[in-house]
Amino acid sequence: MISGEEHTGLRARADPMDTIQLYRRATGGWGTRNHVLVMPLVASASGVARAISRGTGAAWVEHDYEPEAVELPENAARIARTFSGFVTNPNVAAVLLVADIAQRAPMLDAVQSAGQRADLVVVAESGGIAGAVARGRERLAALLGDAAACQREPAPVGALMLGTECGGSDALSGITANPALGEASDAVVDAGGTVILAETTELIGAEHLLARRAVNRAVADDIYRIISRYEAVVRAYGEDIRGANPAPGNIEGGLTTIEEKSLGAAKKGGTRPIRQVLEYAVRPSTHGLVIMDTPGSDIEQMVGMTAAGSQIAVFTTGRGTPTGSPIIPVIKIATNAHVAARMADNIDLSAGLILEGAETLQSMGRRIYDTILAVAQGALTKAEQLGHREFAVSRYPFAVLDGIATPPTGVR
Amino acid sequence: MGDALTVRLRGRIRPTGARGIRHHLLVVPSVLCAAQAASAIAEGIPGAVAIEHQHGCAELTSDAGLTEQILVGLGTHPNVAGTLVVSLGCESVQGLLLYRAIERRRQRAEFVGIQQAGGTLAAIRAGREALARLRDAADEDPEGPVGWGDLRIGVEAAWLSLPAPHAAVFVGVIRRLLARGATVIQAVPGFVERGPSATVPEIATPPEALASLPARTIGYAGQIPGDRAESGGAGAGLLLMAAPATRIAQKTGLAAAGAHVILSALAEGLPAGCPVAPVVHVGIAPYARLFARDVEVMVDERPDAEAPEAVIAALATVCREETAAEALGMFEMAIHRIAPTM
Amino acid sequence: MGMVIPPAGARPAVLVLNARDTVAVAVVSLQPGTPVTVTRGDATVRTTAAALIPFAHKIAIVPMGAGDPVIKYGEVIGYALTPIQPGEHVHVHNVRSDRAGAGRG
Repeated sequence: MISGEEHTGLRARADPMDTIQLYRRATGGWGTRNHVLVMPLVASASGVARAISRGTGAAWVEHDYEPEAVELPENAARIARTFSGFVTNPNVAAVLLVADIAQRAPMLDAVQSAGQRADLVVVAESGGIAGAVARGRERLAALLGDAAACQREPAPVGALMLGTECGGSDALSGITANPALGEASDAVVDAGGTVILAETTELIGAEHLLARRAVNRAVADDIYRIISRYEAVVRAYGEDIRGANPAPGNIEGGLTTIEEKSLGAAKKGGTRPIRQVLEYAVRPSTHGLVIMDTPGSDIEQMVGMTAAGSQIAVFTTGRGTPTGSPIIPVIKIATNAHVAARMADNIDLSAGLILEGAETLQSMGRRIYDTILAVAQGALTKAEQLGHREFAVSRYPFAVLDGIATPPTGVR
Repeated sequence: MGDALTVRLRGRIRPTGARGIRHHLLVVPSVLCAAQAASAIAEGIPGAVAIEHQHGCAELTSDAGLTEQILVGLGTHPNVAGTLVVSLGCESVQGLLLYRAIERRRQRAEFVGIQQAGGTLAAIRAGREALARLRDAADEDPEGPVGWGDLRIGVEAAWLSLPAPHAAVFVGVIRRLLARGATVIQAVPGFVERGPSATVPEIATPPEALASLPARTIGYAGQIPGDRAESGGAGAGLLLMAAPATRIAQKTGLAAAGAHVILSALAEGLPAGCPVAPVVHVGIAPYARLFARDVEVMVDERPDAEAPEAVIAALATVCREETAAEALGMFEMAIHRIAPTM
Repeated sequence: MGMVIPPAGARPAVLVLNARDTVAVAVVSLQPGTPVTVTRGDATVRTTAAALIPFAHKIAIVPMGAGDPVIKYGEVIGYALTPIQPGEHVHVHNVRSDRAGAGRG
């Protein structure tokens, strides 16, 4: 735990009475951006979504989700709430859904009932591809007009839901960038906001330490449950995460035990009590620090947190990951100066300054917090400037544990 | 209507001797995190096609292997004149290994690593230079005649569940193609693994409609034994490819297995193209009348005896001319997923 | 959290992440014999690298007995397999994991 003196120092800065300029939404949330989104509901509509949004400034997504004739209910539910959460994220002023057939229309009702401004194009009812693109562009123009009227207004800092992520980790991730991000996470929580810690597979080995910080027994049990669940899935497919970590590259880099590695990853969520454990893409019902069950796959994790309502994310990276999001700003923090310089086009901040003696963990944490507030109010991240808009659909991973599917031994 | 199979086709002759009916420069991200850079590299460059997929990160071994197999298959496709692999650096399907695997199959290839290059912008610059080198080298591939015996026709599984008169059209098409020495790769959903050492999966329900034709089974996106580039592509007959039920993943698998062109029955859902192999959409009326301008050939509610000829004529046309989907740059890609991501 | 004491603006040689830690992380490679000075909570610790401590590896800053917890980030990251003296390299050769075998604590 941080010593008492440092604790007070940061808390004084994170005054819940501070306000920042955000977009107020009818859905009840506050947005850091004002996107109009074109969202294909199935993979085959991705091309039409792209053609509709081309040249308009609208955000768009493409993905590979093809519904099957017989869909596992848990998988369908996971994907449906991912999509509906994503398009109702407070950063989205309005959304144009692109469906292949009319049967997808219930998604429009669900999204509109949540208070979101939304419209729908059904390709099979629009006179072919060209007709669908033309109709889509017409409807999109109306949504763009609506969105243009949105203005920022004073909002509490506590309106922020910060997604935290690490990718392309190296030996320094747990020493510089993650602990510094953890300082900023603590500041966000102290200001009344929410911080999401995810990547279940990377918490394996630290479950007991996290469980000790849970606000009650039920949350502690949930922490153990999601971690052992993911371990069991991976084992069912013949691999052993706990046994394989730290990997030889990690050991060479200085990580000695799995608990050390996972603790280094968990650091980015900060030190505050853990209030809730969420399934993938489920919106938190509390403020404070929460844990979400997501795969370690970078993009699936980001999409899960975004679908839960994160309007901004901080992503630490050791080797340099360029990814962003179609609808939320992703602040990229390098663990060391070498990568920060090498990939300057993609990196927003360097925690390598700690190694140079130019910053302490606390002062770096403050820098990150200040950057979060600036980016929330409109400063563009490198990922946004470069147009990174990564998106991936996460499938339900636990069927094999439910006794539903026996894992195949490999397609070869 | 004359015999469409007598139409003369032309294409490019690759250094391996294989014939291609397209001349793409393919930009392949080895992981989804590199897809943005791959698209930016290809943007606005004539002949360049970037693929986007959602794989390569946090995959278990079986999926990582399948992803690699697909990407190698697409990267070494005869319709592809040269391949640029764009890698991040830390992913499951190591970009450099992918590049080398493509090179080993005697495909023109280049490699750009985002981390090595120093970020997205540097990778885009390096990627564009690599594409220029590939194009210059690819210009040396001579044009030449392409016979049906040089072609592999991929067929999506959807027609297998059509009513008999429509299914018969496809059987007619397949028989005619086989008679002319073409290789036909038929996707068959519902495959069953035999075990870790199995090289070829069983197909759970072999298609009855094709039962009278001799056939061999290959895996999803699998190599076709005895029908590869070096020999110039002696016909391998009918191959049944174990495939997932989802159509875009089927198309991707067929393309990765080397199908030059793909036949897709459109009786539901939307038409969708494929990155390296043009798709001939065979519209099945009445549903496909919704897409009258998007399909390459329409089969009536009551197909007549000329229907297989019309389909083959459309095939021949597509071998010579760009489809509407290609002109719009509209194609989808999906890789069948075996296990959850980690 | 501590850094090497010498002149302001100089690069630290090691980082201590928490006042309770029994190890510091080398942020440059330390040759054997390199003196190390570090702040640990209120105290100043001085020791000497007993072996090569590679970049990002751990160096002991307090003595640990066999079986004692190794603490980093203020938490137990393993247990000492043998007695460990300040200045020694702390890694897989003298630390065992407590969480390597599956199970809930």
